[in-house]
Amino acid sequence: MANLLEVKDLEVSFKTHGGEVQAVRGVTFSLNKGEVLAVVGESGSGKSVTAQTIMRLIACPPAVIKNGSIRFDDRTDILSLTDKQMEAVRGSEIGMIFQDPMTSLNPTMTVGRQIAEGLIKHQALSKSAGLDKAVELLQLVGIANAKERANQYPHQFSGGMRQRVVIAIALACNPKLLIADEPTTALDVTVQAQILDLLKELCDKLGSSILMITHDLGVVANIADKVIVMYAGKVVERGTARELFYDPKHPYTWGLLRSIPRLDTDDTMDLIPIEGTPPNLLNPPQGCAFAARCPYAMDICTTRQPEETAVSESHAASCWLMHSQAPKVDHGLMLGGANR
Amino acid sequence: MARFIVRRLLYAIVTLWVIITLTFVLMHSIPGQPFNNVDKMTPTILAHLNYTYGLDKPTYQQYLIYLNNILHGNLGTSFRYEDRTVNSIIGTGFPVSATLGFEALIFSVIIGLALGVYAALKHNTWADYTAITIAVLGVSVPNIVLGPLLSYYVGVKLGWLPTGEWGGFEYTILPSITLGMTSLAFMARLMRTSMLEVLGMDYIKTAKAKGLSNREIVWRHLFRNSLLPIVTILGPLVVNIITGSIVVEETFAIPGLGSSFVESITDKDYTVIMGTTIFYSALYILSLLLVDICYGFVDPRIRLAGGRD
Repeated sequence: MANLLEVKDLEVSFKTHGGEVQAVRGVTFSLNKGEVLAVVGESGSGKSVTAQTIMRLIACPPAVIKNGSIRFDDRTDILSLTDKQMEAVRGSEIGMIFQDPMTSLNPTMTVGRQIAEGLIKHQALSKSAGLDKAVELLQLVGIANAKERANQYPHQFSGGMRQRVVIAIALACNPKLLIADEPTTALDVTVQAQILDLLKELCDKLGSSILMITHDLGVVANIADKVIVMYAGKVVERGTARELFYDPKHPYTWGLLRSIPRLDTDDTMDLIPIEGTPPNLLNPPQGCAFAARCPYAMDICTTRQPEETAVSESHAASCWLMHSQAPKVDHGLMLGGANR
Repeated sequence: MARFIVRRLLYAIVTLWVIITLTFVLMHSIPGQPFNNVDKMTPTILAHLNYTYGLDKPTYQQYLIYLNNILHGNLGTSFRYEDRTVNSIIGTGFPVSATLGFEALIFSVIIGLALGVYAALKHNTWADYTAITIAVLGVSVPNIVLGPLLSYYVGVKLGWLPTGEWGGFEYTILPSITLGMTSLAFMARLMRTSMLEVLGMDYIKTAKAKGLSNREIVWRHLFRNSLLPIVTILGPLVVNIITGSIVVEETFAIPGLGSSFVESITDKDYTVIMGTTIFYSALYILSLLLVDICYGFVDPRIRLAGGRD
């Protein structure tokens, strides 16, 4: 499988009055054609900034892309494209879905026109051909009475329906890559599942890859082939979804897995939260960023950054515990908590 | 939509009736009388005058007679100028005020919006600061200062435009600028704030993610949504511009309705006070109604709430 997207050593900072916030600190990953890659992490881990940098949607200033390259579809670095060239990539080759469907549609434009806009621009369709195609797309994302619905405004749609419209907009031009930035976070749980199924089904049909930003491990289990776990602007662990759920190596990943509630547990199991708060990225710690919250932290963890250590060809983690001289720890991991 | 308008018109009539009654009561509770140079007339003459204008009747009867007249479209005769009816005073004064107000409105809306859009698009650059400085100046310099300054420098010193009076188009330019300046500044600031707010909205990001150019985003997504607060203030603004022209009319010696309104109050010219107040109120209510209808066109969410389209 060929690489569709290759992000290398990406560093993004924000200039603020208080100093420079290092939101993304050297992120490297790649995504193959047709694959679903999930980026997992808590708020402030830099996952959304990474996604928006790939789309070149972050405002510079205040953001500064300090280092790194983003190669898309074996072509030149996205970061070196002109604004005009980037416009041709956005919407046509990379589509994007945002978190909150209640605010991501223009309230004063009909849904049909909002879908047609990208088509008219990228595929040089006439206005009426664009609108016809928009109706087809609405049918494709499962909206009944698509012809009538296309002439309605976003406020006449429910949250789940709006997210379907947003998906239709993102997939309108058959993009090779779909970036979904927490597409189900703002939705009801039952609607979440429908939207995920729809996304998976459509991307299979169109052959699009998905970069899924999420903090919901349930979503990951449902949809992802590969996962990267981000913490404080760095990738701490990467692997296939299977490897990450069954053989996680990084204490942060353990913590994430322990904090998911399960349906089949009784009250002898406690959910175990990760104590503490993420480090301040104005002044990131010298050693491992997770050391301050890590129950297994050693002296070296606070002074030196761990290198990435490979477990298998697809699985790697950045943790001193994986060093040959480190003590073996028994994390007693069980999904959804641990026995008392 | 039709039902909505009819309902609003009914409300308007009730509102007008309240205004008429209040004005009538207030006017009659001020001490003094329309014919107050009593020492110069004999009691017989005064009694005769009062009889002629119906002032000898009890107040409630005067009120009922007045209401009846209004229903027949008759606003009465001026107490001060016996040969002029209130209808004719409004008829000659209002077109002048309206022309002036209309030009001022066009001027302030077009330039104000342009300035606001420009400032927002060039946010935090010197262009933005310049536009905002102009806007702040416009808000803080009152008509009564700006009018004479323009009249003196452009009219007298440069001699480009007439300094006052009412004639062709060239007579309207300076007063329109004077009258429109405050609204222009207000408009510019509101538009800038509104644009900046909409710029931060998620749907602008969606539009960008579609690959639209900045220009397409500004005109298709940003501009229309930023107009909503502007439309809201447009109604009061229109009336403000039309009625607030008294100072400007005095400065430039323009025979508009504003000056008649002010004079009538000092003269205790009951019928003219009542007539102009009712006229202005009706205008105000009407423009608010128009704005609500316009609002529906700009914002589809309002259209549904207001009734069926």
